[in-house]
Amino acid sequence: MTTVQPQRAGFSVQRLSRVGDLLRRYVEGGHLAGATALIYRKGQIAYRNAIGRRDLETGLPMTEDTIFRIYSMTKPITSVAVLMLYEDGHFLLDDPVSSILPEFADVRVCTGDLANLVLPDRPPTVKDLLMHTAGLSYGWGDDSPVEKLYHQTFRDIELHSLETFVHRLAALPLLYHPGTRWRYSRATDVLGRLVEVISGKTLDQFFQQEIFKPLAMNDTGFHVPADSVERFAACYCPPGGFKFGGDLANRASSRPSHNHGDRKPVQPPIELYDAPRKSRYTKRPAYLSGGGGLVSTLGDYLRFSQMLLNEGILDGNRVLGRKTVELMRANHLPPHLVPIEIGDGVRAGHGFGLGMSALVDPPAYSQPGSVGAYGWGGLATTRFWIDPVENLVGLFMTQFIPSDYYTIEREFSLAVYQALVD
Amino acid sequence: MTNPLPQRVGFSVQRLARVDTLLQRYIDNGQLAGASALLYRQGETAYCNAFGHSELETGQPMTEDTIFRIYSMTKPITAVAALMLFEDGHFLLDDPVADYLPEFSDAQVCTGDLQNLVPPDRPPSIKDLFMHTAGLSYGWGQDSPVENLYRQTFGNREQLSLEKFVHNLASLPLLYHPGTRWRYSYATDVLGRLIEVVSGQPLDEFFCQEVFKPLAMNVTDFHVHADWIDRFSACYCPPGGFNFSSDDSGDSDIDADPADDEAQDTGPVIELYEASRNSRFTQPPSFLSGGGGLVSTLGDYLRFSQMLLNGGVLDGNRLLGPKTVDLMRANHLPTDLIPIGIGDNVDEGYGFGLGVSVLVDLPATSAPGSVGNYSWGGAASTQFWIDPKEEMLGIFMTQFMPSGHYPVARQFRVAAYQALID
Repeated sequence: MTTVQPQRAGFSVQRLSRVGDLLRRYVEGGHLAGATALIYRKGQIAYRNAIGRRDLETGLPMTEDTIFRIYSMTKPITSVAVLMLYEDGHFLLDDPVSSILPEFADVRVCTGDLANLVLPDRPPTVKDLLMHTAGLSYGWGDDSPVEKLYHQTFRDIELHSLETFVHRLAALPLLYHPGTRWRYSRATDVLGRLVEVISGKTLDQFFQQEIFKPLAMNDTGFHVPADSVERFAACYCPPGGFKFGGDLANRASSRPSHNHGDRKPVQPPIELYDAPRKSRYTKRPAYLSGGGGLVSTLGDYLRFSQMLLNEGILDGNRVLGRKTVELMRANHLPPHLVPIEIGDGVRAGHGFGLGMSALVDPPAYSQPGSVGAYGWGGLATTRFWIDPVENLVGLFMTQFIPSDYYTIEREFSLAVYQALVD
Repeated sequence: MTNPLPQRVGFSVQRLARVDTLLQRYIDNGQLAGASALLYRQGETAYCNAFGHSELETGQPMTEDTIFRIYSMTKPITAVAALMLFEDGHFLLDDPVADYLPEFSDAQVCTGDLQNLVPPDRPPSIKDLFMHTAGLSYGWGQDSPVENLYRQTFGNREQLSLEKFVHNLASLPLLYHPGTRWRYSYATDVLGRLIEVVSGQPLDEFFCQEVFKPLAMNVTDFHVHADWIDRFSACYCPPGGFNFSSDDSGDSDIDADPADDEAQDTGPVIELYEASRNSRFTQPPSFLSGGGGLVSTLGDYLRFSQMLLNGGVLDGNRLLGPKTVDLMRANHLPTDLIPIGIGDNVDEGYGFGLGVSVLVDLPATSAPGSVGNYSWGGAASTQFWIDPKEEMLGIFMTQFMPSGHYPVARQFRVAAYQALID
């Protein structure tokens, strides 16, 4: 990474110090063990910082080359892989999933009662998989009897191959008729299987050869190699664990106080969730999850984001065509499905493109930003976004589950935009 | 202020003379004691003039440095101050007000009957305070029993401290569920209190240090300093006084428009509402009203408006980032709450941003202008607007209550835009 040049990239150095203040509040208050952040704009790294520790137990510092579980930030990578095969003419986006994965040929929809399944109004398409509109779910909810089936079916998901997983998933009923709702789901894992079937390679092979190598994302993969374990961060969670779809109303109170006098080191309100050395990420998994399986670094994910900001190319290596990136980052959701929501968490002002959210209404989001900014985050509170209007990439990484426990992603985005002065 | 050079910034000198004609007519007909107006565009003052008297009783002429009660034109200043603290990371716009002002924790909604209050569907947020969507009011109306409670509770408003006022306000029921209506209100006074609590400074100190000093608004404060008193204007009203309830307000009150050839045979058309010397504005108030407490001048408000037109900066002093100003001046109201209206006076074509109205539908306003104009006015018929599209702003000052009695501010805008010829 090159030298930091905030002014040349249109940032106020003084205002940019608020990003550091924000990260320090979380780390010094014991809310996060460590954090890293990066802002890239107009061909310059405008800001980068790594503070605190990547592992409280060993005392190792957070560094710019720390390796993170990026969870759902895997999804945009899988989506790019799918679009590469799409550009190569293997399928059209409106093709039924079952034309590539026949196990989806007989899907049924549960409209309330498992005993009375109905035929879908139309078959789920490849685009539905990219959009989370296929009728699939994650099994976190309790508003459909199918959610319970997900729970039962995928308890031991890590032990099986992607192929087995997708077969089991295809045997479950859909939660709704394709295209009628937006529901965050395992659809991106199905896309990973689609990549395997079409390319004839395993997903990790395809990623490695077609994306990570051309983009020189050397620390990104489905597991942490032995000689990199030293750089792998520990992952933390609230005391007593966590659950999905928590109460959003309590967020401000779980935020560190801005008041400088209150910033005494307190008993850390976090506990260890996954230590680096004993982590399942130290071995190649049986289940190659295109929805959440990757580890990566700030620098690697910057290169992936730069490729997208550059409309599909980085350092002469073209991954996607410009028009395909434009299609990917456009909002594809009809107005009545905007904004997207995960559990009780409404992402106000956001629609969805092919694998990423797209900001359609900044006032509704109550944050400064640009129409057309797109991005996604991961379960362990990592986030990236790309703002084509401002020619900007924002990246934030820590390791704390769940991602909606703190508001730091929004606070980081605010700190970035308020520092933009050109 | 420099010598106006209208031609250099796209105005017809000849057509601009219509502004003079308009304002002189109000003076000659005795409908206003005095008035002053300013147009600024593309870095130049295109028009600046003062007419009549600042005080009829003393014969003091209206000048460019006359001091005015700007009443609700205080609100955009309070909004900017609150956004400065937002940028510094003290809160997010969607945070509940009660996180910072716990007196609002138990807010209940009156849906018709004071005996049957219900908990709000969601707690009022800080953004609701900026937007007048929190459930608060002013106590001018008759359509809710809560309006009466406002009148009883705030008869002695001026004697209270801001802290006490907000405590009293928080103990009254909300008039509607937050976010479901737009209603002009004391919300901006609550925002003033939020600034005090978050910054640890009294509102006048915060304004002085963070807004007035950096912008060199040297004659703006919550009271008229002893050495400013000669420049302070008297304030007038219709014979027999006025009240804030609906009937007497509104630009639609065309009967009060002085037609060119209208004979003056009905005796005095205005009476003294408040003389300059024994005004309550000559003493520092106990109630620091972020909703309406300031006095200011044409020149000072020009500097505030220039800062906004420039995207948050003036003469190298940055108050807000441009992306935050963009967010402030965007319409945040959902379509079903547009247009805004105060009492029976509907502001056709206007939505609302963070502390300012926003022009969203030009034809509906029935006047020339630009979509994206943002503006506000004061009870004594002062008004400002900023037109980012034309890189232009206008300010109109007089001292006549209530603001809707004459359509002069709207006529001034017509006169300004008809003179724009580039």
